[in-house]
Amino acid sequence: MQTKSKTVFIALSAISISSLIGSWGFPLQRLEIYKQPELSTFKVPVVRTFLLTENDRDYPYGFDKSIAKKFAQIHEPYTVQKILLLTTAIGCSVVALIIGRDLVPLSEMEEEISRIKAEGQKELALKGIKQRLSLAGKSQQLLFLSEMRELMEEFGSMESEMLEVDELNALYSQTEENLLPKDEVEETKPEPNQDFRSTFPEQMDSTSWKACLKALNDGCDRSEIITQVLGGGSHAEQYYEFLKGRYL
Amino acid sequence: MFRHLKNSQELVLYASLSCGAGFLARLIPAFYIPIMLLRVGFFAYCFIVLFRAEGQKELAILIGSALALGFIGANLDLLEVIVRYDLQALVARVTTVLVFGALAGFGYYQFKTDNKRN
Repeated sequence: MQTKSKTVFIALSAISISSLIGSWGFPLQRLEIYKQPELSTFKVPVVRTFLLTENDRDYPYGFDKSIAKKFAQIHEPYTVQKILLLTTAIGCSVVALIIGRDLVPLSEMEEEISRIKAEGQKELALKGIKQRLSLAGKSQQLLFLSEMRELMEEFGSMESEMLEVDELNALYSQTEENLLPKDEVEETKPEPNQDFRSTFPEQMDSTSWKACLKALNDGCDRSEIITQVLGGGSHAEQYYEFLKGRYL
Repeated sequence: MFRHLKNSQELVLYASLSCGAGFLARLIPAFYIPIMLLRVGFFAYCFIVLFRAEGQKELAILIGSALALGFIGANLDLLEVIVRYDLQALVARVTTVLVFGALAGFGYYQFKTDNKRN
C-alpha cells in the first residue's frame, strides 16, 4: 500500500512540474508587431516597435496607425491549452501535497530504521571478526604451550642426564687410576685439601660449575655465588676455589 | 527525497497560482493593475521578512521565489517575442533596472554601515 502511495506521489509530482513548465511555452494570445519609423529627440531616425495584443483596449502611447507597418503577427494562440496545463499542475500538486503529508514522516522513519539496521549489522560483523581473531590467537598460544610442554618433557631433564654423565665419568676416571702403574701414580700431583668433598661430592662438580657460570652471567659476584648457589660456609668457599682451578 | 519532493510541490502550487494571476492580467487588462500591486505587496513583505524580521524565513523565500517563477512563466512567450523583435528596448530597460537596483543596494549598505559605526 505504501509502495503504491509512493509511486502515485512521485507520478503526481512529475506531472505537476512538467505541466507547469509546459504551460509557459507557446503564445497565450494573438499578437501583432508593428514597426514605426520616426525621428527621435535629436532628429535621429529610429524605428520603434509596438506590440499589440487582441486584449488591448487602445493603442500604446506614440503609436500612429497611418505610419506604422505590421511586421509580424501571432495568429494562433494556445490559450485553452495553457490554462488546462496550469489547472493540471495545480490539481496534481494539491493531491501530491495531501498524499505527501502522511507519506513523508513514514518514509523518513523507514529510512532511519534501515540506517540503524545497517549500522547494527556492521557492528555485529566487526565484533564477529574480532572474536574470531582473538580465538585464533588464543588457540595459537595453547598450541605453542602444548608443544613447549612436550619439548620440556623430552629435553627438560638435562640436569639428571648430566649427573649420570658425571657419575659415569667419575667411575671411569677411578677405574683408570686403578689400572695405571704405581710410579705413574706417584708422579701425579698431590691433591690439595678436599674437606669439602663430604658436602660436595665429585659428581656434582660439572653441574655446580654450570650453576656458578649461570650466576656469573646473571651478574652475581663471588660472595653471592658462594652463599646463594653453593649454600654458603667455608666448604662452599673452598669448593668454589677448587672449581675455578679445575675449569678455568 | 520525499521531503524535497513535497517542498517542490509547495513551490509548484504557489508558482502555478502566480502564473494563473499573470495569465489573468494579460487576458483581462482590467486586472493588470490590481495583480501588479498584489505582487509588489507580496515581494515587499518577503523582503521585510528576509532582511528585517527574526525567525523562520523559509516561507518568505518560498513565496518570493514562487512569485518570481510565476511572473516569469506567465510572460515567457511575450518575452520571447520582445527578444526576437525588440531586443534593444529590452536591454535598455533591464540595464536601467539593474543600475537603479545597484545604486539602491549600495545606498542601503552605506546606511547600514553608518548605523553600525554610530
